[in-house]
Amino acid sequence: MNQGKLLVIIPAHNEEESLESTVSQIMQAAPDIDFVVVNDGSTDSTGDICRSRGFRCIDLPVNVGLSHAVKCGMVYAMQHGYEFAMQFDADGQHDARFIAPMLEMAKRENCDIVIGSRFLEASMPMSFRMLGSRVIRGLIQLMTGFRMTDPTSGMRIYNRNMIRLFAVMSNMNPEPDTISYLIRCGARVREVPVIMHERSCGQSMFSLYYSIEYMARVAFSLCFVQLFRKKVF
Amino acid sequence: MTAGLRVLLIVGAFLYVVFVIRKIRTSAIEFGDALFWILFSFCLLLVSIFPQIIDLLCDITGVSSPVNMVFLCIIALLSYKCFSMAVKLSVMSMKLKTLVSVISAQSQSLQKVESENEFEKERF
Repeated sequence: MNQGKLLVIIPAHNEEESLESTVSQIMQAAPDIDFVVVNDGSTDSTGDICRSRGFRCIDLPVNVGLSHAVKCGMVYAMQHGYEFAMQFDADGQHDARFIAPMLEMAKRENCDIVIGSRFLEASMPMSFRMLGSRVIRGLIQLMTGFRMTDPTSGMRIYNRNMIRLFAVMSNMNPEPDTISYLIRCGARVREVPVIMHERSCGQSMFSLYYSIEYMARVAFSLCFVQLFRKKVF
Repeated sequence: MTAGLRVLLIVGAFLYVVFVIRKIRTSAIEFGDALFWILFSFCLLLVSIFPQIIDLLCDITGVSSPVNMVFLCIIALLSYKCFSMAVKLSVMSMKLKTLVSVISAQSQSLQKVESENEFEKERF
Protein backbone atom coordinates (compact mmCIF):
# COMPACT_ATOMS: atom_id res chain seq x y z
CA MET A 1 0.00 0.00 0.00
CA ASN A 2 2.69 2.49 1.00
CA GLN A 3 5.63 0.49 -0.38
CA GLY A 4 8.94 2.32 0.05
CA LYS A 5 7.27 5.24 1.81
CA LEU A 6 8.20 7.00 5.03
CA LEU A 7 5.74 7.95 7.75
CA VAL A 8 6.80 10.76 10.07
CA ILE A 9 5.33 10.19 13.53
CA ILE A 10 4.90 13.38 15.54
CA PRO A 11 3.97 12.61 19.16
CA ALA A 12 2.42 15.72 20.70
CA HIS A 13 1.29 16.41 24.23
CA ASN A 14 0.18 20.02 24.76
CA GLU A 15 2.25 21.39 21.88
CA GLU A 16 -0.19 24.03 20.64
CA GLU A 17 2.54 26.67 20.41
CA SER A 18 4.97 24.78 18.19
CA LEU A 19 2.95 22.10 16.37
CA GLU A 20 1.79 24.22 13.45
CA SER A 21 5.28 25.54 12.63
CA THR A 22 6.82 22.07 13.02
CA VAL A 23 4.34 20.46 10.63
CA SER A 24 4.69 23.38 8.17
CA GLN A 25 8.46 22.84 8.14
CA ILE A 26 8.00 19.14 7.40
CA MET A 27 5.53 19.87 4.59
CA GLN A 28 7.93 22.40 3.12
CA ALA A 29 11.12 20.34 3.44
CA ALA A 30 9.58 16.99 2.51
CA PRO A 31 6.28 17.63 0.67
CA ASP A 32 5.86 14.06 -0.59
CA ILE A 33 6.28 12.45 2.82
CA ASP A 34 3.32 11.38 4.94
CA PHE A 35 3.07 12.39 8.57
CA VAL A 36 0.71 11.68 11.43
CA VAL A 37 0.34 13.66 14.63
CA VAL A 38 -0.30 11.47 17.67
CA ASN A 39 -2.25 13.72 20.00
CA ASP A 40 -1.34 12.18 23.36
CA GLY A 41 -4.27 13.25 25.51
CA SER A 42 -3.55 16.95 25.10
CA THR A 43 -5.64 19.29 27.22
CA ASP A 44 -4.80 22.37 25.12
CA SER A 45 -5.77 23.10 21.52
CA THR A 46 -3.32 20.61 19.91
CA GLY A 47 -6.21 18.45 18.64
CA ASP A 48 -8.19 21.51 17.43
CA ILE A 49 -5.15 22.75 15.47
CA CYS A 50 -4.85 19.38 13.74
CA ARG A 51 -8.54 19.36 12.79
CA SER A 52 -8.64 22.97 11.60
CA ARG A 53 -5.44 22.62 9.53
CA GLY A 54 -6.37 19.17 8.23
CA PHE A 55 -3.32 17.41 9.70
CA ARG A 56 -3.62 13.64 9.83
CA CYS A 57 -4.08 13.04 13.56
CA ILE A 58 -4.61 10.14 15.93
CA ASP A 59 -6.37 11.38 19.05
CA LEU A 60 -5.55 9.35 22.13
CA PRO A 61 -8.30 9.82 24.73
CA VAL A 62 -5.84 9.66 27.64
CA ASN A 63 -2.18 10.58 28.09
CA VAL A 64 -0.04 7.45 27.70
CA GLY A 65 3.44 9.00 27.50
CA LEU A 66 5.96 9.42 24.70
CA SER A 67 6.88 5.74 24.30
CA HIS A 68 3.32 4.57 23.83
CA ALA A 69 2.39 7.52 21.65
CA VAL A 70 5.24 6.50 19.33
CA LYS A 71 4.04 2.87 19.59
CA CYS A 72 0.61 4.06 18.45
CA GLY A 73 2.28 5.70 15.43
CA MET A 74 4.17 2.46 14.74
CA VAL A 75 0.93 0.46 14.84
CA TYR A 76 -0.54 2.93 12.33
CA ALA A 77 2.55 2.62 10.11
CA MET A 78 2.38 -1.17 10.21
CA GLN A 79 -1.33 -1.28 9.45
CA HIS A 80 -0.88 1.04 6.46
CA GLY A 81 2.15 -0.80 5.10
CA TYR A 82 4.78 1.92 5.42
CA GLU A 83 8.35 0.89 4.68
CA PHE A 84 9.92 3.36 7.11
CA ALA A 85 8.77 5.31 10.16
CA MET A 86 10.45 8.28 11.78
CA GLN A 87 9.96 9.85 15.18
CA PHE A 88 9.93 13.64 14.95
CA ASP A 89 9.47 15.94 17.94
CA ALA A 90 6.67 18.50 17.87
CA ASP A 91 8.57 21.06 19.93
CA GLY A 92 10.73 22.45 17.11
CA GLN A 93 14.02 20.82 18.15
CA HIS A 94 14.26 18.54 15.12
CA ASP A 95 15.10 20.01 11.71
CA ALA A 96 12.99 18.71 8.80
CA ARG A 97 15.81 19.36 6.29
CA PHE A 98 17.55 16.23 7.51
CA ILE A 99 14.62 13.87 6.85
CA ALA A 100 15.72 13.33 3.23
CA PRO A 101 19.40 12.51 3.95
CA MET A 102 18.38 10.13 6.76
CA LEU A 103 15.88 8.37 4.49
CA GLU A 104 18.47 8.15 1.75
CA MET A 105 20.93 6.49 4.16
CA ALA A 106 18.22 4.03 5.29
CA LYS A 107 17.51 2.98 1.70
CA ARG A 108 21.08 3.00 0.44
CA GLU A 109 22.62 0.96 3.25
CA ASN A 110 19.53 -1.16 3.96
CA CYS A 111 19.54 -0.01 7.58
CA ASP A 112 17.21 -1.15 10.32
CA ILE A 113 17.72 2.10 12.23
CA VAL A 114 19.16 5.45 11.16
CA ILE A 115 19.94 7.90 13.95
CA GLY A 116 20.25 11.64 13.39
CA SER A 117 23.33 12.52 15.42
CA ARG A 118 24.29 15.98 16.62
CA PHE A 119 27.80 14.80 17.45
CA LEU A 120 28.91 12.76 14.41
CA GLU A 121 30.83 15.72 13.04
CA ALA A 122 30.73 18.04 16.06
CA SER A 123 32.02 17.08 19.48
CA MET A 124 29.68 16.65 22.44
CA PRO A 125 29.85 19.73 24.68
CA MET A 126 31.16 19.35 28.23
CA SER A 127 28.08 20.13 30.23
CA PHE A 128 26.13 18.48 33.03
CA ARG A 129 23.32 17.67 30.61
CA MET A 130 25.72 15.88 28.30
CA LEU A 131 27.47 14.02 31.15
CA GLY A 132 24.63 11.53 31.27
CA SER A 133 24.77 11.12 27.49
CA ARG A 134 28.51 10.41 27.71
CA VAL A 135 27.89 7.73 30.34
CA ILE A 136 25.18 6.14 28.20
CA ARG A 137 27.41 6.32 25.14
CA GLY A 138 30.17 4.50 27.04
CA LEU A 139 27.78 1.83 28.32
CA ILE A 140 26.36 1.21 24.82
CA GLN A 141 29.87 0.80 23.43
CA LEU A 142 30.69 -1.61 26.26
CA MET A 143 27.56 -3.69 25.72
CA THR A 144 27.40 -3.69 21.91
CA GLY A 145 30.74 -2.52 20.55
CA PHE A 146 28.87 0.13 18.55
CA ARG A 147 30.03 3.70 19.05
CA MET A 148 26.78 5.67 19.11
CA THR A 149 27.75 9.32 19.03
CA ASP A 150 24.31 10.65 20.04
CA PRO A 151 22.46 8.05 22.10
CA THR A 152 19.73 10.39 23.32
CA SER A 153 18.80 11.71 19.88
CA GLY A 154 15.08 11.26 19.34
CA MET A 155 15.40 11.68 15.57
CA ARG A 156 15.46 8.10 14.27
CA ILE A 157 14.19 6.27 11.21
CA TYR A 158 13.08 2.65 11.60
CA ASN A 159 12.55 0.18 8.78
CA ARG A 160 9.66 -2.26 8.33
CA ASN A 161 11.18 -4.94 10.57
CA MET A 162 11.69 -2.48 13.42
CA ILE A 163 8.20 -1.00 12.92
CA ARG A 164 6.70 -4.43 13.44
CA LEU A 165 8.74 -5.04 16.61
CA PHE A 166 7.80 -1.66 18.06
CA ALA A 167 4.14 -2.23 17.22
CA VAL A 168 3.71 -5.73 18.61
CA MET A 169 6.31 -6.23 21.35
CA SER A 170 6.14 -4.90 24.87
CA ASN A 171 8.97 -2.88 26.46
CA MET A 172 9.94 -1.43 23.09
CA ASN A 173 10.60 2.23 23.81
CA PRO A 174 12.33 4.72 21.50
CA GLU A 175 15.14 4.99 24.06
CA PRO A 176 18.90 4.24 23.97
CA ASP A 177 18.52 0.98 25.94
CA THR A 178 16.08 -0.47 23.40
CA ILE A 179 18.37 0.59 20.54
CA SER A 180 21.25 -1.14 22.33
CA TYR A 181 19.12 -4.29 22.68
CA LEU A 182 18.25 -4.21 18.96
CA ILE A 183 21.93 -3.81 18.06
CA ARG A 184 22.71 -6.87 20.19
CA CYS A 185 19.97 -8.71 18.30
CA GLY A 186 21.76 -7.85 15.06
CA ALA A 187 20.02 -4.67 13.87
CA ARG A 188 21.95 -2.64 11.31
CA VAL A 189 22.34 0.91 12.65
CA ARG A 190 23.88 3.95 10.97
CA GLU A 191 24.17 7.60 11.98
CA VAL A 192 23.69 10.73 9.88
CA PRO A 193 24.89 14.19 10.97
CA VAL A 194 22.03 16.53 11.83
CA ILE A 195 21.54 19.85 13.53
CA MET A 196 18.98 20.30 16.26
CA HIS A 197 17.62 23.49 17.74
CA GLU A 198 16.78 24.51 21.27
CA ARG A 199 13.15 23.89 22.18
CA SER A 200 11.19 26.76 20.55
CA CYS A 201 8.16 26.85 22.87
CA GLY A 202 6.60 25.26 25.87
CA GLN A 203 8.19 23.42 28.77
CA SER A 204 10.51 20.48 28.57
CA MET A 205 9.58 17.47 30.63
CA PHE A 206 13.25 17.11 31.51
CA SER A 207 13.63 18.80 34.90
CA LEU A 208 16.89 18.12 36.79
CA TYR A 209 15.28 15.37 38.90
CA TYR A 210 13.69 13.74 35.85
CA SER A 211 17.01 13.93 33.93
CA ILE A 212 18.89 12.17 36.74
CA GLU A 213 16.13 9.56 37.13
CA TYR A 214 16.09 9.02 33.33
CA MET A 215 19.86 8.50 33.16
CA ALA A 216 19.83 6.10 36.13
CA ARG A 217 16.96 4.11 34.62
CA VAL A 218 18.62 3.89 31.19
CA ALA A 219 21.99 2.95 32.73
CA PHE A 220 20.34 0.18 34.80
CA SER A 221 18.47 -1.07 31.73
CA LEU A 222 21.65 -1.08 29.64
CA CYS A 223 23.79 -2.87 32.23
CA PHE A 224 21.30 -5.37 33.53
CA VAL A 225 17.91 -5.64 31.88
CA GLN A 226 19.01 -5.79 28.25
CA LEU A 227 21.50 -8.56 29.08
CA PHE A 228 18.73 -10.96 30.05
CA ARG A 229 16.14 -10.04 27.47
CA LYS A 230 15.36 -12.75 24.95
CA LYS A 231 16.70 -11.84 21.51
CA VAL A 232 14.05 -11.51 18.85
CA PHE A 233 16.06 -12.08 15.69
CA MET B 1 22.86 -10.44 63.37
CA THR B 2 23.08 -14.22 63.43
CA ALA B 3 24.69 -16.21 60.65
CA GLY B 4 21.36 -17.88 59.93
CA LEU B 5 19.63 -14.54 59.32
CA ARG B 6 22.45 -13.37 57.06
CA VAL B 7 22.20 -16.56 54.99
CA LEU B 8 18.42 -16.11 54.82
CA LEU B 9 18.82 -12.55 53.53
CA ILE B 10 21.36 -13.66 50.90
CA VAL B 11 19.05 -16.45 49.74
CA GLY B 12 16.12 -14.01 49.68
CA ALA B 13 18.09 -11.49 47.62
CA PHE B 14 19.17 -14.21 45.19
CA LEU B 15 15.58 -15.47 44.78
CA TYR B 16 14.27 -11.96 44.09
CA VAL B 17 16.91 -11.45 41.38
CA VAL B 18 16.07 -14.82 39.79
CA PHE B 19 12.34 -14.00 39.74
CA VAL B 20 12.97 -10.56 38.23
CA ILE B 21 15.29 -11.97 35.55
CA ARG B 22 12.64 -14.55 34.61
CA LYS B 23 10.07 -11.79 34.17
CA ILE B 24 12.53 -9.67 32.17
CA ARG B 25 13.27 -12.58 29.81
CA THR B 26 9.59 -12.96 28.97
CA SER B 27 8.92 -9.19 29.00
CA ALA B 28 6.27 -9.85 31.68
CA ILE B 29 7.28 -6.76 33.62
CA GLU B 30 7.84 -3.13 32.67
CA PHE B 31 11.58 -2.73 32.99
CA GLY B 32 11.31 0.48 35.00
CA ASP B 33 9.46 -1.50 37.71
CA ALA B 34 12.21 -4.13 37.79
CA LEU B 35 14.69 -1.52 39.02
CA PHE B 36 13.03 -1.26 42.46
CA TRP B 37 13.21 -5.03 43.05
CA ILE B 38 16.84 -5.25 41.96
CA LEU B 39 17.75 -2.39 44.32
CA PHE B 40 15.72 -4.11 47.06
CA SER B 41 17.70 -7.32 46.50
CA PHE B 42 20.92 -5.33 46.53
CA CYS B 43 20.00 -3.80 49.91
CA LEU B 44 19.27 -7.25 51.36
CA LEU B 45 22.61 -8.47 50.06
CA LEU B 46 24.44 -5.42 51.41
CA VAL B 47 23.14 -5.75 54.97
CA SER B 48 23.82 -9.49 55.01
CA ILE B 49 27.44 -8.97 53.91
CA PHE B 50 27.94 -5.85 56.08
CA PRO B 51 25.80 -6.35 59.23
CA GLN B 52 27.61 -3.36 60.73
CA ILE B 53 25.15 -1.16 58.79
CA ILE B 54 22.25 -2.63 60.77
CA ASP B 55 24.23 -2.31 64.04
CA LEU B 56 24.84 1.38 63.27
CA LEU B 57 21.15 1.98 62.54
CA CYS B 58 20.28 0.21 65.82
CA ASP B 59 22.66 2.49 67.74
CA ILE B 60 21.17 5.60 66.11
CA THR B 61 17.52 4.68 66.56
CA GLY B 62 17.75 2.80 69.88
CA VAL B 63 16.33 -0.42 68.46
CA SER B 64 17.77 -3.20 70.62
CA SER B 65 17.60 -6.15 68.24
CA PRO B 66 19.27 -6.12 64.78
CA VAL B 67 16.61 -8.46 63.36
CA ASN B 68 13.92 -5.92 64.33
CA MET B 69 15.84 -3.24 62.44
CA VAL B 70 15.98 -5.53 59.38
CA PHE B 71 12.20 -5.98 59.62
CA LEU B 72 11.71 -2.23 60.04
CA CYS B 73 13.81 -1.45 56.96
CA ILE B 74 12.04 -4.04 54.83
CA ILE B 75 8.63 -2.79 56.00
CA ALA B 76 9.64 0.80 55.20
CA LEU B 77 10.73 -0.14 51.66
CA LEU B 78 7.60 -2.19 51.06
CA SER B 79 5.43 0.64 52.39
CA TYR B 80 7.00 2.99 49.88
CA LYS B 81 6.41 0.47 47.10
CA CYS B 82 2.82 -0.09 48.23
CA PHE B 83 2.16 3.66 48.17
CA SER B 84 3.71 4.16 44.74
CA MET B 85 1.65 1.25 43.39
CA ALA B 86 -1.50 2.78 44.91
CA VAL B 87 -0.75 6.03 43.08
CA LYS B 88 -0.19 4.15 39.80
CA LEU B 89 -3.40 2.23 40.30
CA SER B 90 -5.34 5.45 40.90
CA VAL B 91 -3.98 6.98 37.70
CA MET B 92 -4.82 3.83 35.73
CA SER B 93 -8.32 3.76 37.21
CA MET B 94 -8.94 7.36 36.14
CA LYS B 95 -7.65 6.63 32.63
CA LEU B 96 -9.78 3.49 32.38
CA LYS B 97 -12.90 5.44 33.31
CA THR B 98 -12.08 8.07 30.70
CA LEU B 99 -11.62 5.33 28.09
CA VAL B 100 -14.96 3.75 29.07
CA SER B 101 -16.68 7.11 28.58
CA VAL B 102 -15.02 7.76 25.22
CA ILE B 103 -15.68 4.28 23.84
CA SER B 104 -19.28 4.30 25.05
CA ALA B 105 -19.94 7.71 23.49
CA GLN B 106 -18.34 6.60 20.21
CA SER B 107 -20.34 3.37 20.25
CA GLN B 108 -23.55 5.33 20.83
CA SER B 109 -22.71 7.70 17.94
CA LEU B 110 -21.98 4.71 15.70
CA GLN B 111 -25.30 3.08 16.58
CA LYS B 112 -27.08 6.34 15.80
CA VAL B 113 -25.38 6.58 12.38
CA GLU B 114 -26.18 2.92 11.63
CA SER B 115 -29.85 3.35 12.55
CA GLU B 116 -30.08 6.49 10.38
CA ASN B 117 -28.54 4.54 7.47
CA GLU B 118 -31.08 1.73 7.99
CA PHE B 119 -33.89 4.30 7.93
CA GLU B 120 -32.60 5.83 4.69
CA LYS B 121 -32.33 2.38 3.06
CA GLU B 122 -35.94 1.53 3.99
CA ARG B 123 -37.17 4.84 2.60
CA PHE B 124 -35.66 4.09 -0.81
